Amino acid sequence: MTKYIVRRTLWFLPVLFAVTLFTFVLMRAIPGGPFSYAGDKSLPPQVVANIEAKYHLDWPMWKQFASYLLGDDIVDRAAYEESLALKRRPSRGLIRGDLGPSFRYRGQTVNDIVATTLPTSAQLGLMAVALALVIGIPAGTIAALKQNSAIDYMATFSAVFFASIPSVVLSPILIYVFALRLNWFPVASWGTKPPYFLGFLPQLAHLNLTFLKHAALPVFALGTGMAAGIARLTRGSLLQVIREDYIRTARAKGLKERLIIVRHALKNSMIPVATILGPLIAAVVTGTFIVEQIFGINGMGKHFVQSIGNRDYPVIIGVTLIYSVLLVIGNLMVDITYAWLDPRIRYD
Amino acid sequence: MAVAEATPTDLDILARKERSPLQESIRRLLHHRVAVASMCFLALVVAVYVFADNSLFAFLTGKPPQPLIAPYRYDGANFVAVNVPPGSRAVSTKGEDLFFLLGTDYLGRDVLSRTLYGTRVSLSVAIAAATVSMLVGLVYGTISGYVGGRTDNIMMRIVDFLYGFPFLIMVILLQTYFKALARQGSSSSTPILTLLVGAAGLAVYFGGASGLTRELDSRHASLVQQLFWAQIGLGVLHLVLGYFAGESLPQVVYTSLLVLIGLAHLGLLALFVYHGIVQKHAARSSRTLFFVGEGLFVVALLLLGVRINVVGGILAVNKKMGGMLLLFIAIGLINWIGMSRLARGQVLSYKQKEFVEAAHSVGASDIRIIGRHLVPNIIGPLIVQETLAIPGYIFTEAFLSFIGLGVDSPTPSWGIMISECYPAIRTYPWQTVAPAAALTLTTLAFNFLGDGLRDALDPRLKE
Amino acid sequence: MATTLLEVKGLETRFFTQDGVVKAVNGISYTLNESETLAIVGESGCGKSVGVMSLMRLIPEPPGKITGGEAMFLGRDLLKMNKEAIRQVRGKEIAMIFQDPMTSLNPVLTIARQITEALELHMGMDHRQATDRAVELLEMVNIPEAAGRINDYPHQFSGGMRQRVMIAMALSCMPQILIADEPTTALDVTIQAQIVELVKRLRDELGMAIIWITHDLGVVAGLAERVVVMYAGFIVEEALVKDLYGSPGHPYTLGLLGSLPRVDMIRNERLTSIEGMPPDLIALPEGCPFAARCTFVLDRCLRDNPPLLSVAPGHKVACWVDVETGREK
Repeated sequence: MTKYIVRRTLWFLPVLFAVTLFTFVLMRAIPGGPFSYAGDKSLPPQVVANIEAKYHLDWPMWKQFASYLLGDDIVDRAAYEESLALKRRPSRGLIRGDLGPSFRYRGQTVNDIVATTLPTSAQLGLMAVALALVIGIPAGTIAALKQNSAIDYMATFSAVFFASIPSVVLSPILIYVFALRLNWFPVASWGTKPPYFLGFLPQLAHLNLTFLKHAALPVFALGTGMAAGIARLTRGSLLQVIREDYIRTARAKGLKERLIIVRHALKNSMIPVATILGPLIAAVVTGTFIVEQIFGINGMGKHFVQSIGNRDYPVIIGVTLIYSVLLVIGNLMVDITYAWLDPRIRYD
Repeated sequence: MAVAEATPTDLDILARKERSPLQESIRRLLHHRVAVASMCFLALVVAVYVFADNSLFAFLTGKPPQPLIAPYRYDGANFVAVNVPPGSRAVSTKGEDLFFLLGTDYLGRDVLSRTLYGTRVSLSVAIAAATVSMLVGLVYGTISGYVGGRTDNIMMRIVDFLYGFPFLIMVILLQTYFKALARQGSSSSTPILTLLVGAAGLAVYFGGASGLTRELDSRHASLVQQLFWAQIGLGVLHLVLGYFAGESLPQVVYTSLLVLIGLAHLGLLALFVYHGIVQKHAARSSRTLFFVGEGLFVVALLLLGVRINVVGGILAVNKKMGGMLLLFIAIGLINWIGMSRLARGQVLSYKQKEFVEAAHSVGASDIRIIGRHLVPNIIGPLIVQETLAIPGYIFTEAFLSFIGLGVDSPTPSWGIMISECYPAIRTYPWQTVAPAAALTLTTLAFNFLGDGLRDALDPRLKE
Repeated sequence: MATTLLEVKGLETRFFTQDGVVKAVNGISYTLNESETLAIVGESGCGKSVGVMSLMRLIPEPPGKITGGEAMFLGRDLLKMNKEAIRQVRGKEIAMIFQDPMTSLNPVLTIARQITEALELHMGMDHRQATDRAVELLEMVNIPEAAGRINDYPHQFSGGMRQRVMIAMALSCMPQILIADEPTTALDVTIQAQIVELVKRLRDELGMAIIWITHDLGVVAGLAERVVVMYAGFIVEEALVKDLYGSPGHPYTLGLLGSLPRVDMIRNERLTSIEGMPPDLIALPEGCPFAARCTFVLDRCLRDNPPLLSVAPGHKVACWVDVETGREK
């Protein structure tokens, strides 16, 4: 098992490297540097050249990439000394956790931006996933066990319905109905502030009604689609598992129906569900882009979208990397869950 | 002793058993009421898609298209009727009577017309992305599963690698890049990606060629070497020409030279296939590497050589299409992976079946076996999968448009409409509701249709 | 005279599907004595599995439904018991092994878990006792290094080994009846013989009664005392093994025997097969269900379905024809 995890983890290193290379090359290949404009006006070429020199954008591409990856002190010692002398911030390199400076927000590094915005997004995302699992799995299970009953039809229909409403649609509707018309929830913003427990979880003292009220609508907007997807999948897979021969064997042993479901059917039926957790995590990430935007939550997704508009390339690259790491960790967790559920994979 | 005659009941049984699986599936699908309703709704959407205006015929006459089903043009601003609620009337500056069934937006554009025109973006994305991912996935997965062995291993490794890729973020980045290109024009586009493709292709090509030289006898091996160097020589010629193309060569000369070089490439390849070297004597993996590498290399060369024309051309077409073309490419190309896995699995399960073995034993060619025996059998689950994936494509388009990376304004996409109007939802809710409802109903219909198709094609899932 | 353990009378099972009512079992009656091995023989789809699954009430409902008959087991009717009571019978008094050992064991649970759960449920053992007992059981079915393999998963065993595990599981609570539903069909021929030998040995040691379902008359000869032949949901013949082989009374049995290779067969004599297909169970013909494939068919066969009647002591046949003469009886 440990060997399996180590092997999977090593497998992710080339993926992350490829993502970094791809993102970096793509962003640098974009015609017109980030400093070609101030607002809508073009800046004088001399000014642009000066700023670009400051960020080493005049270096050849491979050198810029090496500097981003390894740090200035390794790539070009002289330039490193010069930066220090000019009281500029040299790149310390990705390997030492430096994501570089923001081009737009002077004086802020990408690390600063990530540190302030990631916890909020993480809280939102985790709560949405929790909601999806807590609603989706039981709903799917009940629907499968009561197949072709009224409950099943209702659950199946609402699952398809909610799976068909994108968060782009659901979010404004939720705001309009529950925040603007009914005034039950606040319209925007997030209810906690740093410092956080473990760096990203809200402290217990902050977990009050205000926090929950702020969280309710965005978490719902982000989580229902996933819950619907999980419910559909759980239902389908459980229905298939219930027809398997080993369920008949369990019945022939005289086991109670509940024990058959819990011990013999559920674990098997979770195997396909585990495989979609990967795409699901990806959906959470992209979902936060929209939900944070619409609900005015100062999270990483909102920042990512803004930095695209601002052409703030270091932020784009850095945040892309963070997302990739998250997705990669998510995929790893999926693989582990998968192996835990299915011994046939574990012992391969 | 009496002779047993076939009774009427026997005939009935025979009649029932002779219905083909396809007819049986269609019968089951038509019994699925929700799926039939969804199909009707989607047929309506397609009708709106085609006849929103008369651009189909206007294309022939050369006149600007006029709205047909839609009451007004999607970009027709009316400053006399800005943000009016549903059911309002107004008189335009030219004195025409205007009626807005679903109200207008912040530029006084008719919300109904824009919503109807919005089918064009969503359905186009759905169809194009589905087709691209289906074709690429089917071809890739079928080859991988059918050829098997080391090729299969390599091809599936690639898929595994790509599977861990954060694709939607990659699409966002690609769209950022494409959008910047479109803003900037193509002149300063860097050939870096093309160079990467070319280098990778060259490496694979070289690997394949060296494998072939090892495996073939000396006469054929030298032929492979000659071909390899001839292709490289053509490539260099290509590069030199490409370099001068923008500088001094007239466009016509350049283009005709380019066509000649392309023909030479093809000719060499044809010569090669004609000699049948690759088919007969070499290991399958070397052959595959050789051809894949060759393909990538030539594609990269072409792109490199004509990048000014191709990139410029693509961007021009993209602009004509309101920014949709690049969206198609991006969304379609990232969704083939799941499709290829499914296709491969299906091929593997059918490869060992008796009818395939039988076809082999009577000497049917690989192409024929794949085309006549495998694909018709595996296509069903792929279609179901694709139908169920379409809502995802539509979501992606809405999502990208929402964050400003989708189609270009004023092309009406439901995502853009929501994005433009949701901040004013308190005062003008109808502007958001119309596109939101259209988006939801369409994806709902695709989901129900997909479910119905799945039940119809796989009766085991239903009692 | 041995005591009767199980008496099935007029069992009738139907499946209600979209295409119509599938008449899977059509009023079958037979008895099973203590420590006796009864074989039920027939082609696939003739209702033999459904028949015994109905006894255990393992028919999926819906679409299946037991529509008539009774099955008296130790004075109680299995078919009318409530769910709780039948659960107490399953695994404890009547146990079952199935055709495909590859799919009949749960892939995500260890062998230990799957054997011990019945012991804990029916015998009131704690987990430790149950695990010790499970090792004994695995040794009993000749699994090498049983103690070391008890925590393995099913996929780590071969097909034959898995069927042994299934047998150990079925016998864990010392049932009075073991129902074996084509337990050797999915196995290699050599493994088949091993499994049959194992079951014989265990029967002699433990003394349970066995209902052995198979489509292979060859397996039956050395194993069973009595044979029931089923066709299209009907019992067409019932006899002691030696009578069945010596003087088969139904054309269908004759056909089955004709498709079986024999030691005393004359060289170059061809194995025969039964022409045609079994009838559609949704639309059963009015007369004898075998009439359409029968070489002895008479006019009467197309009109009336023959009842199961005694032709000799312990030998019953459902046929209008005397197969010795080819004439109506």
